[in-house]
Amino acid sequence: MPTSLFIEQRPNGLAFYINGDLQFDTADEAIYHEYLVVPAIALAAQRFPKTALRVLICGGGDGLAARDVRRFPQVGEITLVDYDPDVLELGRTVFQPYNQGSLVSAPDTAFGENCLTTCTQDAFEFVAKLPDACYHAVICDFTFPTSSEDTRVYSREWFQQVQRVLHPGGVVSTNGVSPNQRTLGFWCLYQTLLAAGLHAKPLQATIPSFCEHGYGDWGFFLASDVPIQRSAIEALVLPTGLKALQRNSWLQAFQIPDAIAQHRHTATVHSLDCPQLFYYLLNPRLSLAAPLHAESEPIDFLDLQEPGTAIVGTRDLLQLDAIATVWLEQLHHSRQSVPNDHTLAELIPVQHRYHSAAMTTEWLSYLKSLLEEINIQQLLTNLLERAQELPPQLVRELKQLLEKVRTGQPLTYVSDHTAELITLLSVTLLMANLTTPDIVFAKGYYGSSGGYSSYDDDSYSSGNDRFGWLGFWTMLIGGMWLWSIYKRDD
Amino acid sequence: MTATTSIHTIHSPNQLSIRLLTIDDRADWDEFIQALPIGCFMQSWAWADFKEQEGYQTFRYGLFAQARLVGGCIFYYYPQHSSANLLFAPGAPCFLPGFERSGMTLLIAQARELTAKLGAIALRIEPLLCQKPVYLEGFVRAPVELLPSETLLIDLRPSTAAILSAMKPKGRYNIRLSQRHGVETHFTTDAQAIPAFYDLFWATVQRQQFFGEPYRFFINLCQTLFAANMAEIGLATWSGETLAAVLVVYWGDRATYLYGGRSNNHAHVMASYGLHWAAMQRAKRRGCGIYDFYGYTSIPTHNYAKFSQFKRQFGGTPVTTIGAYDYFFYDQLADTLIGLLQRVNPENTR
Repeated sequence: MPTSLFIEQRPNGLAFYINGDLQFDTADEAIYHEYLVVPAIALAAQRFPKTALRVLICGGGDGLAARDVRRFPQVGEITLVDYDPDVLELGRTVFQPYNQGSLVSAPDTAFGENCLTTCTQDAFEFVAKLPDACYHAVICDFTFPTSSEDTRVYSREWFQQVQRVLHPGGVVSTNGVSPNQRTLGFWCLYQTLLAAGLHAKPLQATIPSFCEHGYGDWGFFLASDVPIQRSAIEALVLPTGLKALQRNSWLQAFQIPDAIAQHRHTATVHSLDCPQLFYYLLNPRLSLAAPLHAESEPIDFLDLQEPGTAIVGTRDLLQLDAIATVWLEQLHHSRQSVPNDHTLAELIPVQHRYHSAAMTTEWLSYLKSLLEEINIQQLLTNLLERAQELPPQLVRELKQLLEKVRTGQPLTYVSDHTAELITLLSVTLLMANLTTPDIVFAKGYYGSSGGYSSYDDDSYSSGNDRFGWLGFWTMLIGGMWLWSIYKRDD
Repeated sequence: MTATTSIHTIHSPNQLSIRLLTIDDRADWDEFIQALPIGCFMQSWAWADFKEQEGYQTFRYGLFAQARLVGGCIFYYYPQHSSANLLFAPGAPCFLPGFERSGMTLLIAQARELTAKLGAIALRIEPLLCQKPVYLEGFVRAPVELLPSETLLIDLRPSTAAILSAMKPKGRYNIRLSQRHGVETHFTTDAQAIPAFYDLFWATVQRQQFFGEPYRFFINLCQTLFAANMAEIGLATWSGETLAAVLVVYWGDRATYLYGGRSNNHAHVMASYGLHWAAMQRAKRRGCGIYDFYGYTSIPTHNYAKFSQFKRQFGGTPVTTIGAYDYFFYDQLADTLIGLLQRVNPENTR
């Protein structure tokens, strides 16, 4: 996907967007970059005294993270790898007043010239080719994922690679997502770091420009293969001249409100084989039993050393197969239970970052119209042409159904097999429409809803039984669908 | 991704051929689409580029008789995790008279090939026609549109005075009111106007409670279309405060009011009226004969009703097009269902 860059000029600075997502606003970027960089390098400096530190920055082509790495005279060598040459060029030119020339100049350090090397390459590919134990600190300054592919650099495999290239005791700091806006996504990253064999400490900070854009508070993770102790963090020596990190107060960043923290065991590990993170980011509040109140008592993660759950997802919940499985489960079990928010999100998940749960859920009202589009005789014929690939019982039933459709016999019974097929057809038609962003924004419905649709909020409405009858309703839809075919034939 | 590298040509029996367009065809394609009365900006080269910025794949096909461009279609596809998907073409296909049936046959064959490769189950199209043509046999009505199928068109060809006199009295009055209050308007292709536009757009989204596209959408949209000189942002200010904004797309004979918004403040100065009137005059000066309000209804209960009431004050003629139609590739649909049956294995779900 091509990358779009946009610089919004401000009276006293600028704001920079990649693919429309705010990367930084010069008014407050120091908060983000200092929390991302300073604790990690300070900890590395503490753990590797009298050593010329080697630091790898992944992403961060704007040069702002490099600026804060260069605050440390202990750093002897910096490698910055960013796949986007245009961002790197901006880092060398337009952003130079803000990154203090971090990508062009080479100031003297305690170890001589502070050498910075930039590479224009995919970070995963770059790191995979590095030898073991060659860096003391790795800073991951990636953009917020806008597609499933973007989440590779947040996967267990990625963090395993990062750990491999770190010296034992080396430190990694990674940009997270919002703990309060993308709670399960945030804890998915936490569990993923733990699953990669790292001891991870979450941090959160309030960045006003991020909040103005609706991104919420922002999260980070500080991690290492060696446990990070409170005493070590309290003893960190911070450089002078920081704008955001206050010596007396920054440790509060490790305190996460309990209402958020209690969900950390719920999220599954994000791996390349079974991606989870993008699903969590698109469906941020699913399955949160308790409402999020940031005012609740915090958990101080500096006092917490805990293992991860190591629970790896069993299916990619954005894949048609996974969604279809949930629909079939619902079909067979809905009589016993009303689907909760979690099930609803899995039944009809948000598929694109432009969409909300309300928009997606509204599409259930089009299911009947979608089914009515289908020429059943044509579909049955196409299915029966490949009868050898279908279960014999289903083939027999489809043949009987086709015969009834052809001869106009009344349909009095829909077997389980046929109901399952209708269910799979329903979910296929729904997902085909929902996967295309523009279709969901469709203009001027001729159906019952009409025109631009109204919305309520970004969450599912729970506590009512609108979807409790989904299983039966799906069966009913199948019956209505077939009935309408008969009616049309008449 | 633009599929412009593997160029292959398919010939139909009457020597109509289809091939992927390349960047060298851009000027010819845009000129062809702009010249057609039903040519839609969503079939422009720049719009396709914008959609690629948004993550879509585009497939730009031209139909040729001998070497002459006689029709075509830009197909859009959004690659996703799911193996069920759609190929779609807003404002398309387009043909010169006489090439509709053979052209449609070639386009469907091409779409069939694409859907098999991409995993899509159907093609959704929406030509801007007022009656369903015969060559759309096999297509069924889609449950939703890709474009607003009912819209309101202002004829810009008469004199300025005649356009004004064709408006509702309230429309004329409010335009003059905005002028008396000293509402100022200006139009720009400077991307720095995007934040001001978006602030007003989003305020309107929240006030009217409809689904609105995010900021990033407009960054991509404006940066792409501004560079192609295809769109402008219009802003109306009063006493130093920006009160209304429009995004107008220029394509062929038509200027389309694609998005807009207004502030809650100082409604009495009628900034939106002044701005639309300025947009119409500007479109007329650019040579456009139509100002398209892009979405309209005469049904009082429709969700468009409120802003249709506003649009109606400018006069104009409501026009209804046929809406979106789907063509299902049943072999693909069967393939998807069989694959699901095999992988999901319903027996194990009991």
